[in-house]
Amino acid sequence: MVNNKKGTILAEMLVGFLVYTFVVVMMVQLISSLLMLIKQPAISEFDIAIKQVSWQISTSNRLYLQDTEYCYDYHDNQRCLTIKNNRLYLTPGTQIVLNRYDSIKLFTVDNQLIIKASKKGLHYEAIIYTFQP
Amino acid sequence: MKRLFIPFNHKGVILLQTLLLFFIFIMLASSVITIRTLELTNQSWKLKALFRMDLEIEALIYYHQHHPKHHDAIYSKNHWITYWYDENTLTINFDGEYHYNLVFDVDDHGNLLNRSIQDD
Repeated sequence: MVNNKKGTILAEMLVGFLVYTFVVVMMVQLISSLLMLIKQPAISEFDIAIKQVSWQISTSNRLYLQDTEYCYDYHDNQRCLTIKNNRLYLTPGTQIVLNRYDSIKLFTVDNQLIIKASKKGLHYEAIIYTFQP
Repeated sequence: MKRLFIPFNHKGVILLQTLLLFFIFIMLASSVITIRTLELTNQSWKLKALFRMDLEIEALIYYHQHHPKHHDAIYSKNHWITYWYDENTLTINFDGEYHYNLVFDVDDHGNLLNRSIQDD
């Protein structure tokens, strides 16, 4: 294009503006894609932790209430689910199953031991064990 | 005194600017692709692990509730699950997408101890 022709700067500016718009849109898409990773994944640590507990219980398939705690036998040991300071522990010892939740609640409904927890506005719920009728 | 920066009206500034933008764009795109791929792989592994745990939970609950005999098998989640007894050992064989044996020692009270995995 001839440089001294009328409208040259306008055309170049428009092309430049279009290119920059495209680049900015693409970058926003890429950055938002990266930010998506920080959001809650499809499979949360909650699901994995509770599944591990369920798996341990299934080894003996016997969950019972002892004092105020739900306990089960795993290999040669007895393990109890304890909630303290919004953490779910396995005792004896301090094996932390769920850590730093805003609230954790264990309860039974229709022969099922259910756990409900919330963290940063997200709510989680899972069945830990189904009691034999 | 030396100039620290190239003046804007210097030759090659637009080329340098374009190259920088292109470089940033490519770096960002490649990092996004890499991280997304890693994330997807991680999710897929998590799903596989959860699936295997579900399979084992089902096999163990069936064992405790129905007391299967030697060589009894059930079919669940596209897997044949077979129970083998050998003296004080219980072997639960999974045959499907996953092929492996889950081995337990059984004590006098029927409790399962010492879990181990054997490749089929």
